[in-house]
Amino acid sequence: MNMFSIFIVAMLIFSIGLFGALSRKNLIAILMSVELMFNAIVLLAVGFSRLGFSSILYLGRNTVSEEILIPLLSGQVFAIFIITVAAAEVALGLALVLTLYRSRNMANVDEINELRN
Amino acid sequence: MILQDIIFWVLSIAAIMAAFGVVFLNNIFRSALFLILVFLSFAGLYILLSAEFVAVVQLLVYVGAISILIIFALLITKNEKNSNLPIRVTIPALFVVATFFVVVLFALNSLNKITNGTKHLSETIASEVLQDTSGWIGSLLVSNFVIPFEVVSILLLATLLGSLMLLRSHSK
Repeated sequence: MNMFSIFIVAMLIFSIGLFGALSRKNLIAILMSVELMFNAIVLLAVGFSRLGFSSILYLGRNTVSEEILIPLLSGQVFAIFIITVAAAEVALGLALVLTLYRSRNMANVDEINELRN
Repeated sequence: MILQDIIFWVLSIAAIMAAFGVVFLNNIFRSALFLILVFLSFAGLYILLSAEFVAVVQLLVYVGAISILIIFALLITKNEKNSNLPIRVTIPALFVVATFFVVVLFALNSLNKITNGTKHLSETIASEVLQDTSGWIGSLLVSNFVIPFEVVSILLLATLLGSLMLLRSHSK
């Protein structure tokens, strides 16, 4: 387990999610693919804060102080913010899907043509 | 170390397989169940990276709330047998994803050049520093990151009002 394997895994998940977001027909499936992409980025943030460049600073140090902790935990704080924003995004997205379903009785992206001509 | 590597690869391969299941299965309800498996394996990866607080937040928010929300939306909308079909632009989408992945591999190559010769945080310091992170994360949230914290709270309020407005406007 090093930074490269985490990078590869996160980018594989991100690519799978990107493919799903680009090629699916159902709106809820697109939202699920976007959740995959969010998860990959959160994994990158946590992984870099643990094993990335910031850990170079601490080589040879023997004491624990606040200036060590702040860069080491910033990635986790970013991860918490990303998770919060993702939760807000999926709530709003599902509200949009339900509104569309009420007015058109479907949830497919290729049948939405309200703005055409 | 060996045990950590084994657990990491088992969790990663489970996550990747479940992600393929999310994207390529035709039954959308099974896709949602595989999405829960992806969230669970990611929580395991966060524990492995000694980020226990993020793992617990992942379990609460993703596995607890977002999965239930998605499954509710699936149950409310029309749930046909094979409703997760691809649209006609699959080949261009595959091209875009392949281009993205090749670019990312080049970035990985340069990352390899930069970090070549440096070592990771030594494990003794790591186990000492990362023992009790929840309190430190809480104090960081209200000291160094207080402005994003407040902005996120405004964002959550706006999301709440926005989704209420969207769902109310038709019922008049």
